[in-house]
Amino acid sequence: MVATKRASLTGMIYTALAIVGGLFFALVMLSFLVPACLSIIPAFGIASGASYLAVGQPATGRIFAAFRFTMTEALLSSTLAIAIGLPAAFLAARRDFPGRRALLALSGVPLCIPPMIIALAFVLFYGRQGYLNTFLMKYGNLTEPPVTFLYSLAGVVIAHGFYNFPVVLRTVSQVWERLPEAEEDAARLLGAGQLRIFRTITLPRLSGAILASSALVFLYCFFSFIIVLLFGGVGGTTLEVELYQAARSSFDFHLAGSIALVETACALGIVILYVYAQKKLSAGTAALAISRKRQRLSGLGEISGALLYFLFLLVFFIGPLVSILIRSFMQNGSGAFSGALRFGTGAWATLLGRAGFLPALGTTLVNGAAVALLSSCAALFFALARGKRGFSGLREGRSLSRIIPMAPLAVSSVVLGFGWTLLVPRGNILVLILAQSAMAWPFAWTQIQAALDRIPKSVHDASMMLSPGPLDRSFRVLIPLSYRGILSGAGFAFAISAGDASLPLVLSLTRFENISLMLFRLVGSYRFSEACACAVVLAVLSGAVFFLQDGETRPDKEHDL
Amino acid sequence: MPAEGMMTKSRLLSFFLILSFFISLSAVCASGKNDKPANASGTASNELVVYAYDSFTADWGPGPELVKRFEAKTGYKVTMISCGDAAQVLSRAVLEKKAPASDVLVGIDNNLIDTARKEDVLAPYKPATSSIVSKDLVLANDWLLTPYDWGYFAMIFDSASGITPPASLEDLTKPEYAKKIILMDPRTSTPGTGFLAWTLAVYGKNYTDYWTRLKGNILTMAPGWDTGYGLFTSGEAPLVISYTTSPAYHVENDKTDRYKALIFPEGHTAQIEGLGLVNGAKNPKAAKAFIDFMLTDEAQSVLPLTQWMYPVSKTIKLPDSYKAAPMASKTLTVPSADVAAAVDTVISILAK
Repeated sequence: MVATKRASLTGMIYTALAIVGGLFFALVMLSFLVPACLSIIPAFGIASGASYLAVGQPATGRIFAAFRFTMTEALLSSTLAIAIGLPAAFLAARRDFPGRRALLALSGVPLCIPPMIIALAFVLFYGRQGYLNTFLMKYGNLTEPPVTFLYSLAGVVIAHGFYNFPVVLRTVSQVWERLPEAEEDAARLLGAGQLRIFRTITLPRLSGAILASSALVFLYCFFSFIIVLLFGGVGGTTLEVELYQAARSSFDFHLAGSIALVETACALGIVILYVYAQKKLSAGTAALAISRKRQRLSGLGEISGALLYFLFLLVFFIGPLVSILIRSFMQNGSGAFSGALRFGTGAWATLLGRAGFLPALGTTLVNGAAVALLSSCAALFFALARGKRGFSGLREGRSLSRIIPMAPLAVSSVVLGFGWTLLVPRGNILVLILAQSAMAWPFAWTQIQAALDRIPKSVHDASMMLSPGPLDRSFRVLIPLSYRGILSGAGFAFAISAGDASLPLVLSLTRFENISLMLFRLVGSYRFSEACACAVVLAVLSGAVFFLQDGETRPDKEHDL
Repeated sequence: MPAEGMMTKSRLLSFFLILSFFISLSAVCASGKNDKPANASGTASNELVVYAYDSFTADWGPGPELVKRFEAKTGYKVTMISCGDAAQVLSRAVLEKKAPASDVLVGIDNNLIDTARKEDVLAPYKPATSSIVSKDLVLANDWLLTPYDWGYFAMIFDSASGITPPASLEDLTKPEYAKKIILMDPRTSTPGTGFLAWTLAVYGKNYTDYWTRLKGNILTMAPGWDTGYGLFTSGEAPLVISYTTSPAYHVENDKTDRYKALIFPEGHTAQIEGLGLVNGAKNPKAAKAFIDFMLTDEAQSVLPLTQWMYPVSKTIKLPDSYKAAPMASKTLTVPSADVAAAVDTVISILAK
């Protein structure tokens, strides 16, 4: 009697929570669809002003060249991100070593540090006067800087690849740590080499996670424009720049809308390709098993391999990051009129002493938390609703249910923001939270989906048998089992919101100040040391979000699921 | 397993509960804050809405101080909205043309004035004190825009780099400056457009040859002033395009005279920034009062150390750091339509 009462009470709570989740999802979807549709209307309207194409006939050819270059660059960049991310994912998933959590905590960094600072980081480290060249010239007795790849396609690809590999690392390592050992062990007993085991057993099972994360990286690089313009050669162009020029210099919103449409169509094409590949691959993968214990790094080969890899990371990834930290402590010596920059804490003192700093930090935290909550709830609802035995008609196999979460990635945030301003001319923080959630939830979704996918089939089957209904099953089995993915997704959404300076600007929020806007303003007003200090604050913020999350997990206790 | 499951679930729940608590708390605070100005302002006719670019409205920009002084003097309530950069200020006004939400646009410069006129977003207004603006700074004879500050574009040179500074635009094409010049993209940046206009003014129709010769010496074309100047102060190249007043900033704030503005004998192009009355403004009276106010010494004196540009009023005493900002001997001007047409040509030359 009591038991049934309690059961009905929890049932009601579950239903209520599911309705809230559904509302959140609907809210996030509307926040994306309505402004996105509004923003492309000018493309179909009557051209305002002089026809841009008549003035600049070379524009069409240039758009094509821009498209080709953007595709090449994005493809190479995401390939590099996978190549760097896989070893890191292996180490983080399968081996225990000091600094493992710190490595994972870097996941949010690429999302929250603005590309302008990333570019500056690479310049500080690899530039002609950068730390690496200064070091090599000093100890190699060279007169010319030896490292000069920065201003070329290689520079673009390396900057993109290294700054995005943590996305691959996080998504793939979550799956890798739960891969069943039995088949690998069997293959080993039958005499297969490590490489063969990896190629034939491990890699196919990771393919879903690799594909999902590389699609994210690809789209990120596809829309990147500061790094492409800065390093990609003088006179280079991207679709985003053409859009910029049409909307801002020529005030041709018709053309701008058309370019935005082309850009979105390209990105959607990529998403559809990804969905197709994902479907093909997932057909061949078996359900994944449970988490397993991590081994210590052992053996000369493994340790030296790992050391070599970390050295590589240190030079290419940590180096530029630390350069930002060092730059924040550099300033022109006060009083003395001299040439060299010297060490000093002045920039930090000024930044932390600003009256607006703490309120800005508060806004970033609250705004980020709200976006994290909204997007992870929406993503969780979607992931559960579309599941194999989910509680809605959206079946996993349907392509549409895979396109929906990726669609926001096909629209640049400036375009979405533009659509929002047509809806709400003078935005407020609620509009910002909705707009950012509309952009951020795909990232939350990839994390949650990866976590749900790795729940063993046996658990699925047992829960189907024993649970009174799909809601009960979701809340009592699936959510608890995938909570790490949910937290991880919330972390990504937080990082995206914390680092976003373009939506607050496009939405014209009055009296709004957060850390990323502060950074944007500092950089635009000669205050580079202070801007670097501000970027460090952002990086620490998102790093802390991931660090705290990972601290909550006790992987060695999870195996008794 | 059940214990573990319960634990993780409660952890997750508490995480989200704490989150929602903070959010609702802040939402309450935020709504409380928003209510106040709405109640205080009372009638809408008292409110003046100003669109400006971001560095104008920033804490260290002139916006906050100007608003304070203007409100104290006139009793109007100013809402200053940052739209990004100056081009975004204008594009916003163009998009809202049918139902203007602003009264004044700040930051429309000599490059944007033609577009502003063509799009018909501004109404001419000649302030009573217009005479303080010297003739060569007047942006339009009908006073579609009222200039408030200005500056020369110039190459800034890093004296710690050990190279010989160039003495003219032509010098910039010399092989010794190979990969030593940072420019900004004329499609996306004001100094980028300013430099392009400069080459047009000096070389006329031969500007394409000049760019062909210059091409190899450009290290990169940064998408914006911030990135380009950031590269320059990081020591990536010893020459960058900026304003003659840039060294004054470094003297005032960094206490260094390491960075020098180079004056070229052929003359320099300038950027003149203006503000204007929005066509169909809800509160034209307040808007006109604000435009008048911008020409008073009270407002003009705020500009040198916040905008790092020259005030249009000659009676303002410049700070000592402005001794580091040299004056050009000659001011060059080019019709902005010519500049716009040249952008594509130059990009094509560079892309080859």
